[in-house]
Amino acid sequence: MKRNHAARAIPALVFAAAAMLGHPGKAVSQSSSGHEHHAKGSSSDAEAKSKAMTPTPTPDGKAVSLPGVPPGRLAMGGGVTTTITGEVMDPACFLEAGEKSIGKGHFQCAVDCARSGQTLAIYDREIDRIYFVAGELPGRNPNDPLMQYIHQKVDVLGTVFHRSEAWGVVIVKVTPHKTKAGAASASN
Amino acid sequence: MKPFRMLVAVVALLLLSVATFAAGQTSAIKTIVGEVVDPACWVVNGAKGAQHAECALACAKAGQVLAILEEKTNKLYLIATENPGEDPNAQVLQYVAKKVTVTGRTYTRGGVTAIKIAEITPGGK
Repeated sequence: MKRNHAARAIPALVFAAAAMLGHPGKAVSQSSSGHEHHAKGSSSDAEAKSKAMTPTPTPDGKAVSLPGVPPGRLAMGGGVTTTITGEVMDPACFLEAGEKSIGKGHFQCAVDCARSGQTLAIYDREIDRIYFVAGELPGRNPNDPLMQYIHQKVDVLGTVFHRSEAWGVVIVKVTPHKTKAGAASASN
Repeated sequence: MKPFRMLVAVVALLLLSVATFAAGQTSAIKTIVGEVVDPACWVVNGAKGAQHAECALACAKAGQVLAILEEKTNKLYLIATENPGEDPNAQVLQYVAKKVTVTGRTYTRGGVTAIKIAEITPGGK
């Protein structure tokens, strides 16, 4: 009997493990099997990823939007110029340590990383999305408009692009995010 | 007794996996082949290749972290460092706009994938 129970339990545990590993919103490694899955995709899949996602018109036709991005106007190159809200963070540490890397204990680390060449990013906690910051012009440090807002929630007016499974934003203006009560939010 | 031991081993493995992934850490190492690109110009303009090398180099030196665009999948892997204070571009700057084979630990979170480079060699199959 014990043997039978064990025999039934093992596949169930393996299934549970597989389900957990595929859980969205959690950090997962690119396992060799996952990579192979991508690699087995047709070349047209790769070609599709190399093209910027095309914004779609909003129902009223007055604006365009990308998935999860507030509606805005169509920009050159297929981006959407709009305002996104999120926290300024160091993506390198976030990718490994998760949300605990955004906060008091990690502030100096993020500053050091940014100063040593790590490009900062905007993290939209509500939809679990990182927008990496794309410099507008060669030779200009993309971190410049963000350094004073590290670990603060901000509103970023800019143009959002999506290509190769990555979200990028070319910043026009950054302002501290104001809550409904009117106070600017800060976490550090 | 043997099935019981096997069950214990599977449960231990499962718990270890859950703890590892909850912490966002993995010991899994991956090798990718692709081009070293400036992700800003790639995502915004689809620009890469030798004709874009000078621009990518200028962007990288100004503070734009570089990335590997995997050849097979067109997936973008941002470069991440092991420790704060390290320049993530240091290992790839000499290969801008060139094909490389990179082995390292990858992380995916918030829709972004990054790789901590353990080894990089020019070219690749």
